[in-house]
Amino acid sequence: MALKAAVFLDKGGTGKTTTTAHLGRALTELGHEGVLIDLAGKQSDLAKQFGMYEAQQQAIADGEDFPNLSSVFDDDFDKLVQMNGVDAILDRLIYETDEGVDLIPAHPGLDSVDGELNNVEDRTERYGRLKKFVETYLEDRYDFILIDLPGLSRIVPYNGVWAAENLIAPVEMGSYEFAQTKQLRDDVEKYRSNWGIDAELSMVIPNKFESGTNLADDYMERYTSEFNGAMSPDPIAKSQDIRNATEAGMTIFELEEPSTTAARAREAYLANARELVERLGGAGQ
Amino acid sequence: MSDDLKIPEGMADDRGSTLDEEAKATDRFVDDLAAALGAVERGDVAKTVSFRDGRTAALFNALGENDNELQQAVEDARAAAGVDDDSEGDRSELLRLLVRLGLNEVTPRLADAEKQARMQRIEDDY
Repeated sequence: MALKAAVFLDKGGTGKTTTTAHLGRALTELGHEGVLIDLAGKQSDLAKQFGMYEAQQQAIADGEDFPNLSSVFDDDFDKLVQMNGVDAILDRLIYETDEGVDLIPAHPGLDSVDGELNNVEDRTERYGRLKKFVETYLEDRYDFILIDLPGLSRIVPYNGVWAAENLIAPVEMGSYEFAQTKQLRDDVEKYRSNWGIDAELSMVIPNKFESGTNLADDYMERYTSEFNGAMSPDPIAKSQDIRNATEAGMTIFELEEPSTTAARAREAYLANARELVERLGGAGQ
Repeated sequence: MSDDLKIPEGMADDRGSTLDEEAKATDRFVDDLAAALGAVERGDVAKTVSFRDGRTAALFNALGENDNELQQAVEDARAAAGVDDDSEGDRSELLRLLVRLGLNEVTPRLADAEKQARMQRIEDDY
């Protein structure tokens, strides 16, 4: 049974992609094998994070991009696998990064998936395609599956919620984000009652955290009292190195001389990854 | 790479060539946008934008006379855009934020293209 989780908050810029990449990398550091799925938009930020953007864009330009992430939402995907064999399809779909974790990058074709699934009447078919793909083809191959979701309430992200059920919310210390996280917790309750799925807000991770400032400490207290059981053990320190590493196409785990804040952030990601395994089980345990 | 794959009938139709064309058109637009950003940076193109609309002109004229309304509107726009700033705002900032929010909300493709163009500019510079 693989650990499955989706990183989600209905607001852009809270560090969803960075969180997905670094948690995935931290789980890899802890000895687990996993794959990241980028549903967060065709800008392919996860591919950029792992320095694979150019290669993927070249594959698209050369027409060597089939099948891709949008293909798994096609109702003929299983047929495609039957006709060609599972390994032939997964080999084309999944990229190996230099950091040990595998990646299924975003694809421009995802743009049209929402419109196509909108016409599918059966609810399980509409929201459950990614879940089926994950359960049929990925769960037995990996210890963990992390999904980066766009900050939008639409059919493709809901597919991610169905597939992962466990949600991780990276949050900044602000009133808007606090309200959004409370909203997410309410939404999770709706997912459970409306769809009968086992959705849960599994971890709230304070991100870009500046310890010692009154505002950050005040918000930390508010978050802790509101989301007690879901809070991550460690906040992620604000660090210019995270940005620098991202721009260089790597995670901070690859930095040879991390700054103090980056080293602290790295330890926090590891602690949060350990806790995630503890809370959710799976990950090859 | 996909040449040697057997593809179910109907599956390949909505991938590949159509998307390639769309992607190429987007790439061209991003290239044009990156060039336009360069022209603005060099001063070849003005940084100001103007448009003709009497109602909007009246609204912003009145906001210029009513600072409380203006500051409230700026605050709302900043909150919606996720901007953490409590300094005093002005009409120019309000318009800028509203246009940005509109682009993100209504035409995310344009907002995305603009982001790509800015990245391209940075890469071109270094």
